[in-house]
Amino acid sequence: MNYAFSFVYIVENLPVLFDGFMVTVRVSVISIAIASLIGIAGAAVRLLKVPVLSQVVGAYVHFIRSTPLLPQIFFIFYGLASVGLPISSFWAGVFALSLWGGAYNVENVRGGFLSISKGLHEAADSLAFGPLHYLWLVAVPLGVRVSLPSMLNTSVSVLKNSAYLQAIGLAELTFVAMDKVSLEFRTLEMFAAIGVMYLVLVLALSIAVRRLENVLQKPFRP
Amino acid sequence: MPNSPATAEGPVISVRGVVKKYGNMRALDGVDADVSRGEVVVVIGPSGSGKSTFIRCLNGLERVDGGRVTIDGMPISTRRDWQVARRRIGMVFQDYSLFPHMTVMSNICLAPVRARVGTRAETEERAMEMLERVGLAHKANDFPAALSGGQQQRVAIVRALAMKPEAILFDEPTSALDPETIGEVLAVMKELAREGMTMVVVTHEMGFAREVADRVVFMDKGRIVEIGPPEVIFTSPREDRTKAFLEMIF
Repeated sequence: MNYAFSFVYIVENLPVLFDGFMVTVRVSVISIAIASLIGIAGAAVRLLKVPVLSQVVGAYVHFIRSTPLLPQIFFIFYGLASVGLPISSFWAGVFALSLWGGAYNVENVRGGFLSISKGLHEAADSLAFGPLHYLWLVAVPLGVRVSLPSMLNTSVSVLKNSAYLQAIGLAELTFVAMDKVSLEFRTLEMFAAIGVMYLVLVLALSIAVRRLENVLQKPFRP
Repeated sequence: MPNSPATAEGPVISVRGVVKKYGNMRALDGVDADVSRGEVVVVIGPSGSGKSTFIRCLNGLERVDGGRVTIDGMPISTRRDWQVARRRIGMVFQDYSLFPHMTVMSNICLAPVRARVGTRAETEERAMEMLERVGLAHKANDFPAALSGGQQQRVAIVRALAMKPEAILFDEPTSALDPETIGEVLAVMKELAREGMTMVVVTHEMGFAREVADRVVFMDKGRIVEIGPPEVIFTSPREDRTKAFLEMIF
């Protein structure tokens, strides 16, 4: 065994890795944003017990959480193409990751809504707020604040699970690394390099959410 | 119309035969009562007597299982009815229930501006005047977490007043407060009463009841046992149960 780890090899390949890195960033940022909106909207539908829609959201959450992500990705990519709606692997990826993260976020935000005291709901009622006013003015600002840590968890998973999108040919970070490995067999170098890159991305995401938490926490400090 | 001449003379709030059940337990078991304009009604009774349930039925936080509630001569039953009626009946809670993510000013102005009780500018000006009167003008831009319990409860009273209600319900407004801050809240309530605000107050503050109430309602086991002016209820109650309760607390 005389495998010599080559930093030079990594540096030489940084430009191509950077292309994959940027695809991962784009697909993840868009998916995390949509998944967050799905989470808030879905939890709102469940909170307000909107007839029919509430059951639909319940079924959606159950379905997504009970099946593996990879088949979901294939189902969307090949399924849409087979019914005459061909979609690029990038947007199929955004679609799949948003639906996947959205399902978890529905439960995350619902938990946040449940943490709001009954007294605040009654105070809103006694001030003649309609259900939508309560939702927008009280439940969302207070509930989302509480669910931020679990939403961050889900968002980190969305980011890391973007690696599955190599299966539908999206040239994201893991795809690029695998591609190079299959040609030049520099396995350790490539996976070490993308490992560090994912680490940096998750760190950046965590810092951003921590900042948001601090902003939302401001009123609660005496 | 809230102030139409046809209804202005009748009771603001009227309940007849109101029943509220929790499972098999009857929290309210046929309650009749009227609250006239400008009247201060204080509700007393042992815990579990149904007094909180009673006051919560007066603005629809509890939906009655029998009997009817009339506000300004209009029977109120549906959710939508209550949403409209609540603009005229304010409520102050034991735990203040200020919105923790909003400043004092936003807490007060949010609902009246939404319900178009006044423009934002008018509402903020009135809010400032009222805060001044309760001694909290300097806290207008603070968040509730920065206020003491007594201060929060005074803000909650101002928040209810900002809707220009015809009556305000107080559900044990001083029960969660430190003894030294109870007085500042009671003082605000006394002033409101002097100005002629219609008030229904559930409280354990017998001094307040004696001094401010026009009528005292004594409740026990989901029923109104006795209603009368405070000097009668506190000195020569008719019913044995009222006597027993008063002997226990004095």
